[in-house]
Amino acid sequence: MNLLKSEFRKLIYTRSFYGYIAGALFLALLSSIPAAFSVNALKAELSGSSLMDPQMVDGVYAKATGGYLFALIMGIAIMGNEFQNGQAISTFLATPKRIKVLYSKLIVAAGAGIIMMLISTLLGFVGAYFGLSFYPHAKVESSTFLDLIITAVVSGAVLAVMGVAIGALVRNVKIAMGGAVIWLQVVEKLIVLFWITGGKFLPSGLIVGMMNVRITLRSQQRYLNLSTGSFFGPGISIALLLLYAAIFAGVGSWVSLRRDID
Amino acid sequence: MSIIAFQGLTKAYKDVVAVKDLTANVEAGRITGFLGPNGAGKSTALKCLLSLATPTSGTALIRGAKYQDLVNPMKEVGAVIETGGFNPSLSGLKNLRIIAASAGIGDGRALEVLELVDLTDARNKKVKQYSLGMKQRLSLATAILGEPEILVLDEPANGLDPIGIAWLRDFLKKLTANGHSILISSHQLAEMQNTVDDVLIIHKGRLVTEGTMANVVGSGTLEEAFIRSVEASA
Repeated sequence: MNLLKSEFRKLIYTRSFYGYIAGALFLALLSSIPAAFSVNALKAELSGSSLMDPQMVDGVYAKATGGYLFALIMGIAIMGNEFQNGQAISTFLATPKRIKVLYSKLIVAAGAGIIMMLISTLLGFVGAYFGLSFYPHAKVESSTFLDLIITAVVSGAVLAVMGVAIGALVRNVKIAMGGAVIWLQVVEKLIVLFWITGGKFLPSGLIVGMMNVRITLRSQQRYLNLSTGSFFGPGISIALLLLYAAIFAGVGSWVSLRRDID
Repeated sequence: MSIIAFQGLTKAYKDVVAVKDLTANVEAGRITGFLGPNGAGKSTALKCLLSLATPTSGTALIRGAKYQDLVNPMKEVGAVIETGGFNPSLSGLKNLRIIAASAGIGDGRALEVLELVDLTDARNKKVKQYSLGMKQRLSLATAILGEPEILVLDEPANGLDPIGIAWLRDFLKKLTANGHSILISSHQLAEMQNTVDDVLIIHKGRLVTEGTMANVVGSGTLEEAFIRSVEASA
């Protein structure tokens, strides 16, 4: 409990933590408000009846989880700043059993990631609702809200844990954060677009999978795939994300235990 | 009675051997100077002692145990390693509260130690606004947070002005008067001559001499004794 208290203090005392939450809120709104307008603009390309189709409305609400990037960045900061500031010296002097420190960081990061994602997703939900209010014929399924909450909880915890592991693996925090942003916002999106078979295994594909959104496009574009019909369902998506978190946490722990503190 | 024991300690980083076959003991209730020029291997040896680095071979033990195996390390050993260890964006008080929480020490003790090192007025100032001397004092505050009997201090006088050095000397004397045992590393030989009881001199990773200050120095200065020892070991 002492270590959890200490790690919790490190988080809430640091101003950047509130910046990450603000970033997540901003990204969730930025993703969710225009989503209904985008879907409506693309209706000629879409299957079903555009926003009359509950799957399309789910797709709009799924954008409410758009803040997950900041859960990953926060996780990186929780671990990476420790080494960057030299704070690791006092941390490991107080608790030389490093595995305990790492577990505490993982627990605090997961908790903070969940809280961050719940807040940002709820705001994103309001944003999506606002966008959809311009289309009174839009229909929402009753399970959508529950799916969103589950997605927020799992993605917040998993991405924050992955962030802590990345922070342990990459010594330079700026490179780690920059790499994470480029990976999630550019590389993953390109992979999903051009190689859906691989893309569905990636965190962003699995987050869409958790929402159980099934969108099919009528697009004639041969090489682009904007459909989500072949993504995994919620069960497999959650299991794979948790597996990724476990692998990352394991590798991060192994590296931290072996590293000399400079 | 020996409270700290280095036994054949060697630490190598790839091709560089920072500490080579160091064997030495630190006695209880005394101030022991761990002296040598910059790059001699003092900090590396202390990091091995404090489980911040893994020895390539040999051991560095405190009361017969590795630091990482102590039940409540902060209450047994207080340590200063360089002036790092703090989040520069947080105040001195918040940094201490974070460290105190991890060892189960109450927040009130953080205020107490800040007073002991004369940092009460600067407690809410961000550490990045501290002078080097203030950071050194904050490090000392961290070391005594758990009221340990043993202190391991790595270059605590580094960057201090004459007033700061005099303050540090008095501070350490008060601690030993209360029964503390102190291992203090420094490259400032002239200053240490007035501060320490026993001497371990290390050069290029090897122990070149050890003994009480009187025995090592003889009728000259510590600097002269150091040069004699280095030349004799060459």
